[in-house]
Amino acid sequence: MKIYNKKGLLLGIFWMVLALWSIIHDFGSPNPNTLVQIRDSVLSVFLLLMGVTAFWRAFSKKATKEDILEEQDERNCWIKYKSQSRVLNIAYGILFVCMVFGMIGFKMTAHMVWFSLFVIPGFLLGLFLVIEIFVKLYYEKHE
Amino acid sequence: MKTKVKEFRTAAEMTQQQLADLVHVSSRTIISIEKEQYRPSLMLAYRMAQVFGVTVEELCCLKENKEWEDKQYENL
Repeated sequence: MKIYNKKGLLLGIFWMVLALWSIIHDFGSPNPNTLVQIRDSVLSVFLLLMGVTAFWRAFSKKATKEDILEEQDERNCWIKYKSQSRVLNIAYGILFVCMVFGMIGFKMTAHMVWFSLFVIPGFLLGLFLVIEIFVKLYYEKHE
Repeated sequence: MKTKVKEFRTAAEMTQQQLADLVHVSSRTIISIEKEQYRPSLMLAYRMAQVFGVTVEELCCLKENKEWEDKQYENL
């Protein structure tokens, strides 16, 4: 059998190994909480199905062609970029709000919990902005 | 962006999936273009124009879209 999609094959093996490990773990030391046990079992079966599907598709020329087409489809790429950009903007917003609330809370109570709520988002915001500047510089030069 | 993809596709008695297969994109991309929600890339527009045997200008109503964009720009 010829492998058409090596990436898919590796991903399939990874999911299957993870699922098998999870199943062995579930049956070896079952959780006393039935609901948690059911959740874990469902998750394991889901992972196994994903793995088997990816594994099988890696050997099919037609399925591999479909997967590549889906991956390279220009609208899919555009949606991916747009959604990732939106997620980043939302993350910036959340971090900014956390930082402001942390600052106000610390000013009012002088409690260290508020201080950490101010410092951690502030540090992350700064880090993201620095990374964004470097990424922008890279694309300004290469695009 | 306004296009004549649906018009030409129905005239050619082609399904969205058939057109998608011919131009190497998903059928959802064709649906989005027909709904005027997605602007096709230059290469995709050229591929579709070749399938229908028309020019990109005609398929994508470039003259009309340019006039509309110019009007939007003037109103800024």
